[in-house]
Amino acid sequence: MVIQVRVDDRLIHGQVALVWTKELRTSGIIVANDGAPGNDVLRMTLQMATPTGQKLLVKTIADSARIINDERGREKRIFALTNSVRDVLRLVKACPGNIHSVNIANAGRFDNSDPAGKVRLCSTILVNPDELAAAKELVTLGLPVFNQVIPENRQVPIQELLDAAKV
Amino acid sequence: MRKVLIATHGYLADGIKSSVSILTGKESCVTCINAYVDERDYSGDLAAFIEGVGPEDEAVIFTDIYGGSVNQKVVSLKPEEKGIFVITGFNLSAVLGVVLSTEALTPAAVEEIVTASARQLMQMPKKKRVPPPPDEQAEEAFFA
Repeated sequence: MVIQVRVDDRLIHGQVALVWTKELRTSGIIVANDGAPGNDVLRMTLQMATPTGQKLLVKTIADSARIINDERGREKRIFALTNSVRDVLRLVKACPGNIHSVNIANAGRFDNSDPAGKVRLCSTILVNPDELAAAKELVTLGLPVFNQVIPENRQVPIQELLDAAKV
Repeated sequence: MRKVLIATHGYLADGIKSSVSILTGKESCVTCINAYVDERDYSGDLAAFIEGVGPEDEAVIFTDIYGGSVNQKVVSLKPEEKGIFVITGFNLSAVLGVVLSTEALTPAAVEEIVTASARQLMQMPKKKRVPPPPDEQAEEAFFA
């Protein structure tokens, strides 16, 4: 069972992985990203950032969904990561009932899309039109979708941010 | 309450605090002394930090270099008499270890943080990259 999928444009990095896997008491991390499995350098840096004791899988979105839906993972506590809202939407739709919550923590800072077209939902979330559409759909799917960069922060519902930005 | 003092020659203290802030958001428990950046006698600041540590507090002082005057000054104030830990030659990993620890800072816990973070100082390996294990094997291990 995926306790939380985190959207972070830096995927796994430094202490974030350690803090969250401790907070959520997970045994494994899945990085769900179509480009990552074939990218040796990225795999290596993701492995480096994985806390000791956590198992890591780096899979495409489709393969991640397969793993998340796997019977063997039902009793496991798993932490998943994507680097875009569009990707987490695909994942949630492919794994009904097996993902407990979505945390859009850091998004849109490195996606090379036109800055003029982006909307700032909060200090760490910048969405281009496609990402915005994905976020709007995500909040209708019946699971908690919020922004919480570190556990000390309040979980701010994404709907609240969408309303405040009047989008 | 957990209290951390970082005392260094120059602005290393402020610098580390900025890194801690970005990575954890927990910098409010960190006080900095950037020694020798001006004429100010920083011993007063050191004494004030030690003075401010109460019996219910957990406190750690980080200094930059073992043989340096900053560490010498700290040690001469006998912080251990108030149960304050002193860690010298710190790296970011050690400061994070103390700031993020969810358990009580016992002598054993602090020693563990020091040992683990000392191991973080290493050269990046130049050896040939090891190919990832075949998918099935990796997935078996994930669910094990």
